[in-house]
Amino acid sequence: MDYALQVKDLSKVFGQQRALQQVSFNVKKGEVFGFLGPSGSGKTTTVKILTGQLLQTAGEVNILGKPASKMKDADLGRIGILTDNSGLYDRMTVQQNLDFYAKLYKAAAGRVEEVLQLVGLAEDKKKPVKKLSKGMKQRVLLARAVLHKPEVLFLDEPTSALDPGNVQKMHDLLRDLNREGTTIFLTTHNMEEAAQLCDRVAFLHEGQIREMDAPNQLQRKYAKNTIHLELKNGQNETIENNPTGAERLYQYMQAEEVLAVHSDQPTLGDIFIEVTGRKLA
Amino acid sequence: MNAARISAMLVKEYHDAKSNVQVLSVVIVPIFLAILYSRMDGELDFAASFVFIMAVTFVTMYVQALLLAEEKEKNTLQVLLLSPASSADIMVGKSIISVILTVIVLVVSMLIIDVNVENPIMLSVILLVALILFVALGTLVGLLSENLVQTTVYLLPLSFVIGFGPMIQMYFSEGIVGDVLGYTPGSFMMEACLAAINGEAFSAYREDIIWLVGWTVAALVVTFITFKKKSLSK
Repeated sequence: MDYALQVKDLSKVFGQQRALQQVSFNVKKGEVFGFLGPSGSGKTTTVKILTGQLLQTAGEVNILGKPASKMKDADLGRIGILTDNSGLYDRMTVQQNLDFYAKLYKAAAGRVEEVLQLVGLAEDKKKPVKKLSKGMKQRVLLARAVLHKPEVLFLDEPTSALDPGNVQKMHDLLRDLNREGTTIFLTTHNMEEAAQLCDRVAFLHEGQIREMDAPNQLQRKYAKNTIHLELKNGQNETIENNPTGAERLYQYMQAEEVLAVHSDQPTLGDIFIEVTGRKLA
Repeated sequence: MNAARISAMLVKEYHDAKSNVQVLSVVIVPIFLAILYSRMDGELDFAASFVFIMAVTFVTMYVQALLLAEEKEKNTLQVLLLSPASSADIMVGKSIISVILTVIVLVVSMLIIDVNVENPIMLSVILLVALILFVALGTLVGLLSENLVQTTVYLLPLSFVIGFGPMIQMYFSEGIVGDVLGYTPGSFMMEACLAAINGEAFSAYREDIIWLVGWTVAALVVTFITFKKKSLSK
């Protein structure tokens, strides 16, 4: 199997605090992997270790086949990073910012124009960054992160400060990038976002992975064997998915009282609460 | 080191600095002093030496520290360090703009003061050593500061002692204040510049240059260690 990321028994201790404990997972090339957890669960620490910014206390971390802590400058050219606190040179224009990074990464000629089109900022390229909205700045950051066509893209809460319209645009961009072959490692506490974008997700809680699988597999695993009925009289009823429940449903249908039938499929948020006993925040 | 990446850093610094009010305002200080001194009756050698010290203190050190601290404050330095550019590419690229600005200020100041330099080669060597020293000091201040406000807090007393040290020393030539100020880089630079301008024999200011080089080496070592300790190196 060709893996972009391999993490085995990763632990990180800060003083007395255990930030990560025996975390293990692999991310296949071309996969969108969601790393989900509330604030303080260890997501950002994991990204910092994966990108060589922080050294682990124990365990093995390989990125594109090499230990993360031994990445050379050239290896950094194979990854892209977008964190929620990434900065831009706000006195410079969008194009000046991207031209600068294109030179640092030795991106192909014409790539700046290409990514400007990709993120929908071609019309605004002459604007100083300080005059852009938060959503536009986030798109510039994404453009910068993908300028050099990274093989692995790390996104740490990429939509945390965006309105729903911009979140949708960002999701479309990420899908396009993934279709082009970029492996995406997404950390978020937004379960809806993870369900929409990720091939697989891992739930991180208090520094440990509590569950890991494809979102639909998790939904199947944690599905309740019940069906939810909405009745014409305004009442709701939950029935078991078994012969007794079928009998009950048949009765309601014969009496023409059924307005809608819903499955009780849990969301990723519901599953997270069930697994960890706490809500995401 | 990679010339293309250093050149990219330089172009970026130029675009960023040309609309940076803080940078532009510190660049004006030595030029303003040069204009002032050129209209006053007095010793031009002293005026020129003092303006040179002001140039390296206010332009080299200030600009270097401000640009670095701003990168830290805006989280762009971490992005640079996660790029394929080496730490050396980044630091050299960042330093070139403060060096270029200082050279421009030095040349303009000399033209304004119109002082006759007897030993221009030696003066150039002294200024080159001073440039390296003050780039290192500016980098150190930038590394130690978490934001621009903190940079100013560190820079003000430092630039006062170094920049105005030789002047204060004139009034406190005896006693502990004068003795301490006599060992600051500004004092050694002042003595060496005066001697080079007046064409004195090298033996007259050899000791000042040795002290200046010593300060430069010490500043480079401390800056390098700080750079490593701050986990900014790759």
